[in-house]
Amino acid sequence: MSPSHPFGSSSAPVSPELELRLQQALSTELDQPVKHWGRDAARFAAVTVALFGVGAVVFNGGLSPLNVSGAVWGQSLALLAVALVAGVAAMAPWPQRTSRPLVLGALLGGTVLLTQVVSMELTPLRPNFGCLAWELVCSLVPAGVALLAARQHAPRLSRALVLGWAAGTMSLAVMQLKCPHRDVGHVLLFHLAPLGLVVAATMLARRRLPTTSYTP
Amino acid sequence: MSAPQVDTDEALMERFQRGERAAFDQLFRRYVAPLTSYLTRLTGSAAAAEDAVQLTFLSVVRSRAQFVPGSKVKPWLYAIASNAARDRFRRTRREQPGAQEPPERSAEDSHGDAGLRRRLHEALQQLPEAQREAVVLHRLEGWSFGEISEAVGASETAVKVRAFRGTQVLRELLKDVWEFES
Repeated sequence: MSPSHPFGSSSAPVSPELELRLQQALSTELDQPVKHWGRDAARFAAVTVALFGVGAVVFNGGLSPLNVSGAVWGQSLALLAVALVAGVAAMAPWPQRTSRPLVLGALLGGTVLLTQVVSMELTPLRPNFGCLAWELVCSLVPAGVALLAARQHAPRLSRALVLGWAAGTMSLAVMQLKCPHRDVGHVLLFHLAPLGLVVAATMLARRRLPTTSYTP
Repeated sequence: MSAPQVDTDEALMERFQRGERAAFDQLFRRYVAPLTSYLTRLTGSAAAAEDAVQLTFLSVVRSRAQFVPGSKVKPWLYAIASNAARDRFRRTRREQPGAQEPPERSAEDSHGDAGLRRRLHEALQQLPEAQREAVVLHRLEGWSFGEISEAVGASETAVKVRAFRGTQVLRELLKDVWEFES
């Protein structure tokens, strides 16, 4: 197609009525205070860290500090860190060349950490639906806060996936301190399955939630 | 006498971020017509385009703090517009499954190239969203692949492939009325 064809790129002027309607719609919005993404990210980080702290205290309550080894604490704190990095990077309006390596790095880091957590011993499955329930409960608040923040961006399933993963991973970090079982079957069914549920629920909820802004 | 200096989009956006409403008014006036035209092509409907333009500028106002200083305003605006159009389309489809917006006839339809424009609009609506976006921006708005890549958040290669495939389909659909340059 040549530039001069009848489908060319010239844009017809907008009717004064439409322009007026748009300006009226915008005038009330212009008076609203500016919302900074940093506040949402800070809220998410604060909720995540606070819940981790509360979880650590509650779940350690009946245990001697020696029962939770330094290695387990290290793994938990590292999982918390990757959850925070992924969550904040998914909320930030940074260009993709900045946020994508951060998110991918966090996801990769989380996966590597999980391989450290799981013992490949073939032991009988230890069912514990308490682990599953706690993991879901602990994810609720961070996932909710992240979802509210995500409304400030165009709906994108990859963003919802990362936010759900971040909330679920924070929960996994707390459960590390509560659950002594490390066998593959238990971790898969009672820890990773709820993480998957949180991710799926976050993605589904994001599709349903109205969007307040369509920024990329 | 030298021509009056025109503020760049980026300078206007920076001033708007600092709270200057007049800067936003200038940006609005600069982009309302091109965005309406772009969104009409993307959505195939003037009413849908009006909605999407409103959502685009509302998003700019609400999320002005999210604009990263130093980046380009135009791809950011068009990315918001594309997102708004896409979301509006999905929601309409979900709320009224199978509902198709009736074809609209604009004033220009009664003049010379009306038939061609109409055929193009109809053909564009048959393309998948991503291809339509790439074709409209590259073929009709005259953007480079680099600019489109920045706006849609995909690699330049992916954008080229989308535009190429979309053009192939358009060429097939419009072969009786228009000859495309390769």
